[in-house]
Amino acid sequence: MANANNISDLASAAPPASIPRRIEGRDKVRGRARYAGDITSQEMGGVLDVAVAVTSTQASGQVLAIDDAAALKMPGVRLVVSHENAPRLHKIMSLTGAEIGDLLPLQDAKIHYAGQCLALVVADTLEHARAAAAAVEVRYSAPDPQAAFTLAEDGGRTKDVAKVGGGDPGQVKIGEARPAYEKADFQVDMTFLTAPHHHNAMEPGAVVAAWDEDGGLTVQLPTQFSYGEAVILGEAFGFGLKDRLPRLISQVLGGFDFNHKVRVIATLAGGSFGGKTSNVHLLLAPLAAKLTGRPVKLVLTRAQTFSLMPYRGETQQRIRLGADQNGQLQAIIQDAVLAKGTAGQFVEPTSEATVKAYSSPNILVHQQAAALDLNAPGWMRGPGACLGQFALESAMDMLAEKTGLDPLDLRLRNHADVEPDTGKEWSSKSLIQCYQAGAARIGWADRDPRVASMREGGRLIGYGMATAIYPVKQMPAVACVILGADGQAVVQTATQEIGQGMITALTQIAAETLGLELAAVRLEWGDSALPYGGMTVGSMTTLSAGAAIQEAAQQVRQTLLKWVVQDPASPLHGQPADGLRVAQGRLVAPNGASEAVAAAMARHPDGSINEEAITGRTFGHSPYGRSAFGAQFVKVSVDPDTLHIQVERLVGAYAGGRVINPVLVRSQLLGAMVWGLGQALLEESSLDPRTGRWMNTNLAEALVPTNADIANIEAIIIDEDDTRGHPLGVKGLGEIGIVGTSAAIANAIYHATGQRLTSLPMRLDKLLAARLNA
Amino acid sequence: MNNFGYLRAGDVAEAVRAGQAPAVRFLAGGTNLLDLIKYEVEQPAALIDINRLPLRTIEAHEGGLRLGALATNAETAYHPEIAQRYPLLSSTILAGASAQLRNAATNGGNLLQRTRCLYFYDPASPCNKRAPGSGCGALGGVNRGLAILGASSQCIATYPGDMAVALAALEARVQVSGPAGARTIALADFHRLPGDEPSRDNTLTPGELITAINLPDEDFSQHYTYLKIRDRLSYAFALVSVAVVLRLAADGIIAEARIALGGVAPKPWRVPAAEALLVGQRPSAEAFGAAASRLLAGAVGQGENDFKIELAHRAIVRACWQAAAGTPQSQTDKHIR
Repeated sequence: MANANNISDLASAAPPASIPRRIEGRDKVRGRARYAGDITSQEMGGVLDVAVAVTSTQASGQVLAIDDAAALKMPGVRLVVSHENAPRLHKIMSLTGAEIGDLLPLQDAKIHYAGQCLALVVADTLEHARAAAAAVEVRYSAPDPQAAFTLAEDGGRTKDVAKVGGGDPGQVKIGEARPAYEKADFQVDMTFLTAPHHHNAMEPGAVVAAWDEDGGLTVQLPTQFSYGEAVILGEAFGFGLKDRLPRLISQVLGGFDFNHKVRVIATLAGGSFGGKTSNVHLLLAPLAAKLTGRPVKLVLTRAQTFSLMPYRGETQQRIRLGADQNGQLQAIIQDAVLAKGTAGQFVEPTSEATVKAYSSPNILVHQQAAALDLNAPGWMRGPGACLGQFALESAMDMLAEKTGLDPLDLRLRNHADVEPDTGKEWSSKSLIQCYQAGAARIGWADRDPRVASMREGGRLIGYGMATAIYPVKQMPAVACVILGADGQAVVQTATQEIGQGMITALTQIAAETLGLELAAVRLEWGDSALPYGGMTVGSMTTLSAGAAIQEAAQQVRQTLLKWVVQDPASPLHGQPADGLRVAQGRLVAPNGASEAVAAAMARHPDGSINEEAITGRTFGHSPYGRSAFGAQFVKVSVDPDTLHIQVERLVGAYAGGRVINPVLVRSQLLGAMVWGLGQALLEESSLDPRTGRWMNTNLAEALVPTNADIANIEAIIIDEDDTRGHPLGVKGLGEIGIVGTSAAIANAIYHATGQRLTSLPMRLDKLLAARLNA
Repeated sequence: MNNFGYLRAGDVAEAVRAGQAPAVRFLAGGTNLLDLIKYEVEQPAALIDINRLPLRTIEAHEGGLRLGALATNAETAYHPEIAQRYPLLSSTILAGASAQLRNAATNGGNLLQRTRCLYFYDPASPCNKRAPGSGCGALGGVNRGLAILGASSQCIATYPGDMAVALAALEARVQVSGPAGARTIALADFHRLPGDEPSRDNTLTPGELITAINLPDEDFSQHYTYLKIRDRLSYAFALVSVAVVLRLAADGIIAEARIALGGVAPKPWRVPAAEALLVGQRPSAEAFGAAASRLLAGAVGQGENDFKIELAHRAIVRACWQAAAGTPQSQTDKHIR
C-alpha cells in the first residue's frame, strides 16, 4: 500500500525528530509528573488530612449501627463521617448515567451493593486513618435473599431500554428484519456472553478537596470533565444557580459566564479510559472536608476501585444474520441484555456499531437492561462498540463459512457505502484500504482458509479478522489564545490530559496555526477557571478542543498580520497581509522581507493579542455520516494439548482522518489493541455469586496482558482526508483499536481449532470444554 | 494494617528465641507477607527481620548444594552451578512471579508463600485458613484456581508457588533451626494437607526458622522439564504445573522418574506409585497416560476448577514427553511453553 503509513516501523527505530514527543513525557518517566495522590500538605498551606473509606461487606440490607467509638480514640483521628452525621446532599440533575445521579453517598442506611462507601475516617496521616478505618465496626441487617448479581439470575428485572450509552436509541427498527431473516438463504443465530471487567488504571481514584473561608470549594482530581465535576459539586452541595448551571449552557450556548465558587482542577491522570468521571469519591472528600473545615485527601485502595468506580458490566447478545445467495446481508437482528446497577442509568451501547457496520436493508436492535445489586457499570474504552463487534463480527465469520465466502470477501460484499441507519453519505471512508493494508501485512491470502488445517511446530495456527468502527463526534469547546509581547503564546481551554497526549497534540495545533515553534506555545488546561474545554470522552478531544484552538489561533494570526503590515516600524510595513506567511516564529513576505514574531510583538501597543473562539455548538452535526474505520487481523497459535492460546500477530489498519502526531496515535492504537487482546483472553472481574462481592480485586489476580503475551503487534495508519467532515480533518483514533480485536481473535481461534468460543474472556478452560464437547 | 513491633535479629539464635512469641512473623523478602499485612490477613504483633542473618550463601554440601534461606530466587536461578547441575530448579524459579519479585523473594520465604485463594485474601469472607472455624468461602464460590487434590471439607486452597514443585521432584531437604535445635525436613513432608486444621500450611513448629535448602547429589540435568500452564505467560500463578525428572538407561528405558504437580493441591503433589509405573518402560503415550491417571487418582473438582483434572492429565503427559526428549528449555524465553 503506497499510502499506508506503517507506524509500526516507529518501534524499530526512533521516530523522526520532526514528530514532537509527549511534552510531559520526561516528567512522567522520571517520576516528576504530579498526580492528585502526590499533593502534599505543604502545597495545601500546611494542612492536609487523609481520609480512608470504610465499605460495605454485604450487598443489600441496612446498616444498623456504625460503631466508631474505638476508632475515634485512636491517634490522629479527627472524624468518622457516616450517614449519621454527613451533611445532606442535594439531588444531582445535571447528569444521567453515573451512579451518583441516583445514589448520593452517606445519606442513609440502605445498602445497594457490596463495597458501597459506608463511612470515611479522617486522620492526620494515612497510617492513622487506615488503622482507625479497620477499627470501625459496622452492624448490618440480614441481606436481601432476592438480591441478584448476574444476568443469569435477573429475576424478572430485565426491561427494554429507550436509550443506551450517551443517548443512542435502545431500540432500532429499519425495514422488516424478522421476516427477512426467516426467508434468508443463509442464517446465523448465535448468542454471546461477556464478563464484567474493570478499568484497573494504574492510578486509582484520588481527590483533594478544600473549602475556603468564603464558602468556596476547590477540588483537584484526575477527571475527564472538570466543568462537569464542578456542576455536580455545585448541585450536591447546594451552591447558588451560577454554580449549578452547566457552563455548556451559560458559557458556550449563552455566551456569558460568572465568577464561580466551585473550582475543579483536573490533574494528570494515571490512566482513565472512561472510568474517571462523576465518581463517588468526587463527593466524599468535600463531604469530609466540610465537616472538618480542613483540606482532605482521599485515595482509594485498589480493591475499592472495584466497587467505587465504574466498570464494563456483564452482557448477553443474540445475533441473527440473514443473507442471500450472494452473501448480501438481508437482516441483522441484535437482542442484547445488559447489566446495569440499581442506581445509575448507564447502559452499555452495544448497538452503536451494529447499526453502522454493514449495509443491510433490515436492521432490528432490541436492547434490554437488568438492574443488578452491584455498583453501576459505566464508560470504558470503546464502549458498546467493542462488545457489539465481538458478537457481530464473530457471527459474520460463521456467515462466511456458511456462504462459502472468504471472511474478507463477505465484508467487502456488505460494505456500507452510505451510513446504514441514516442513509447519509460518509464524510470519508477508507475501510477498504484498511482491509487491503491489513490483509497484505498479515498475509491473509497466503493462509489455508480451511478450518483446523494449519500447523506450525506442533501448534494449531489460525487467522481471523474483523471490522473496526468508531463514531466521530464533536463537543462544544471554547479556547482562548494569547500571543504575548515576547512572541510566546498561551492557549487556554479546560480539556483534560488522561494519558492520551492531549497536551502535545493541542499544543501542536496551536503552534502550527500560529506559525510558532512548539516551545513557544504553552497550553493551560484542566482547570474549570479556564474557558470551557468539554469532556475528554469518545475519542473526540483532539477534534473538539483542537477545533476551538485552531479557530482562536487563526484569529490571532490574522490580527497579528493586519497589525504588522500597518506598523511603520516593521520591515513588513505595507505588504499585503494575506500574502504573509508565519513559520518557525517568523513573519515572511513574498519578497523575502521578514521579521520575528517576538520582535513585532515587542512593539505591540496592547502588549498582547487575545482571541477567543467557540466551536462545536452543533455538537458536530453534519450532513455526512462520520466514523473512523479499521480492520483487525490476527494470527493465533494454539497448543493442542494444553490449549494455550498465543496471539502471534496482531495487525490493525485504521483510517481516522488527519493524524496530528503519529507517535501519540501509535501509542493509543497499540494500547487499545492490547486491551482488546486482554478483553479477548484474560479480563474478568470475578464475582461471588452468593454475596455480590468482587473477589479478584488486585493486579495479581485481575489479569491483563503482560509483554510476554504480546508477541508481535502492528498498527498501520491509512492516510485519509476528512476535511469535508471538519476543516481540522481529525476524526479521532483513541478507542477504535479495541473494537473488533476480540472478534478477530475468536475468529482466529475458530480457524485454528474448529472451536467457536462465544464467551469472553476466552480462557483455555473454555477452549478445553469446547474441544471435549466437540 | 495494624501497628506491630520490629526486631532486627542479630543471629539465628536470637531470631529463634524471638520467634517463639505468639503472633510474630519472620520478615525476609516480604513479597508475600507485606501484602498480607496490608490486606489485614496477617496482623503480626511483631516482625523479626532476618535479612541480616548470614544465610545468603549458595555452597557445596555433601556433594550437592546448600541454598541459603536468604539467597534470593534470582540469585538462585542464575547461579552457574544451579543452572548447570539443577537446571530444573532454574527453569522453575524463572517461571514464577516477575523479575522484580524474584530479586526480592528469598528461597526460605518462597516455601512459606501462602495460598492465593481469593477468600483467604478477603477478611470479610469466611476462611478456615485465615480465621479457623469461620468456614470456607471458596466451596461453592470463585474457585477456578483451587485444589483438585488433597483438599478437605474445610479448605480447598492450593500452595501457589513454583520453586517448591521442583524441589519436591529433586527431593530437597529443608534445614531449620528451632528451640529444640536443628533438623532437616524432607520437602515432601514440609507442607501439609489441610485436614481439619487448614490454618497450618506446613510442619514447622513455633520459632523454627528455615536456614537452608539442601539439594542432594543427584544429576537430573539431562531429562527434566517444568511445564507451567497459566492464563498469561508472565506474572501469573499456575493453573497446573508439572516438574518432571527422568533418568533414562542407555537403551532408552526409564530407570527413574519423579513427577511433582503444582497449582492443584495444598502441597507439591507427588505419588510414588505413579512414578513407579514408569520405571522399566519406554517413553510412550500409554505409559505417561497411565502415570498421569495414577497421579490424578481421587482428583475432585469444585465446579469452576473441574477443568484442571483434564488439563493436569494433558500437562503431565506433555511434560513427561518433554523430559524424555531432553528438550532444552529456558523459562526466560516465553515462547517455550
